[in-house]
Amino acid sequence: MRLLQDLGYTRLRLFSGGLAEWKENDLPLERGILLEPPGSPTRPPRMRIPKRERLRILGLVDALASRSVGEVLAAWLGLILLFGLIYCVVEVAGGQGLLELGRPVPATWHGFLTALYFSFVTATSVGYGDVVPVGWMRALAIVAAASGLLIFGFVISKFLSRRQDALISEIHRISFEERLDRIQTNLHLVLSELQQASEDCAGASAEGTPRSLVRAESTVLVFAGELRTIHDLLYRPQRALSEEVLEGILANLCAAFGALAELVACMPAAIRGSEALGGSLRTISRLGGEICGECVPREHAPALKLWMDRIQRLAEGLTLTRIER
Amino acid sequence: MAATNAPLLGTAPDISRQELLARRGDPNLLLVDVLPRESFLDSHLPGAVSLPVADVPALARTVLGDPSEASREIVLYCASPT
Repeated sequence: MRLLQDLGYTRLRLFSGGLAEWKENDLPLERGILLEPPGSPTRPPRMRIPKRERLRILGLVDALASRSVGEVLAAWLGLILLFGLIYCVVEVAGGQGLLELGRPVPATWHGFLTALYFSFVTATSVGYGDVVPVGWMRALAIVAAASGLLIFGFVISKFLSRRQDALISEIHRISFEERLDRIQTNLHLVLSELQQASEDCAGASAEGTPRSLVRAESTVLVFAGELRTIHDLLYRPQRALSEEVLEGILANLCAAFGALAELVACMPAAIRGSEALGGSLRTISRLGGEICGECVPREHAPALKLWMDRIQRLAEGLTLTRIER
Repeated sequence: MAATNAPLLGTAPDISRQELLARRGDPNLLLVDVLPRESFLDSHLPGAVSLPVADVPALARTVLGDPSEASREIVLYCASPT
């Protein structure tokens, strides 16, 4: 791999059959483990909170966080009902549970409704004070109020974050589309600039006009930047890309590579090897050379793979022109 | 075959499947998967390490070690022969 050779690795070999040949011959494969190369320093073990501790801290929070708004709301209502029933059972059992305006709440239908009402008023932390708990029921009411508030907080935060998530994903979508638009526009500009520059170069005297070369230099620089963005788009895809859009980008990229090759072939060697231009050209041929239909993480239509392979060949041709002439 | 892969996989000499099988477990041979990490996690040749093409400049030294003291042969592979 030229990239690796550039970095100084010399004892390289290539298993050209690749994963496909291995699979065809039904040879064993491994999956899912990222092996460290032998001899490399081992990573320090990650700090871990003991499992029991984590469970205690996160058990309830995790259980709630993974539920939908409806489920959390149902849990909250269930909790209120449960506490209402407990107050009621205490009344039925004859214990002193709740006082309504100073009088004990009777164990009747009305008493049950009062207990439920008290449970709601407590869980929402309203506390009108018309019904009050007595004795150990006060402790129960505190637990009811604390857990009721906690779960209700979850309901509200879930409701808000749902809207926020939708908004964020919309923002991502828009900025991604803008980025694609920008890539297409820039590529188009780069293409026409390169074509113009190579025409200028062909028509100029052997030294070339310095002004048009400066322009060519900056165009090549922009091209390198665009190519890097497209390379990222293919190798680190964050969102699904429509095949038509990608095909347009790749076709334009091919055309730009063609125009660039013409321009480079026409340039005097001294200018081609200049620091600014030489660096950009190296970047362009390296990045272009890495674009291959089989190596990108997503499976694309055969036509797109062909475009990618064509770009790779053009980049390879550019490297040869750059070095040989 | 190697020439068709240039310049991605350059002009490195080829290694056959038979030789790879014979040298399984050889400490002087490092098998490197240059496919993206998702593909590596899904399946890879036994004993291979992952070095996606896109990460080569950043991670080559970490994964392959220093080039000056490399006594190992590095065998690269991609998805298919094309």
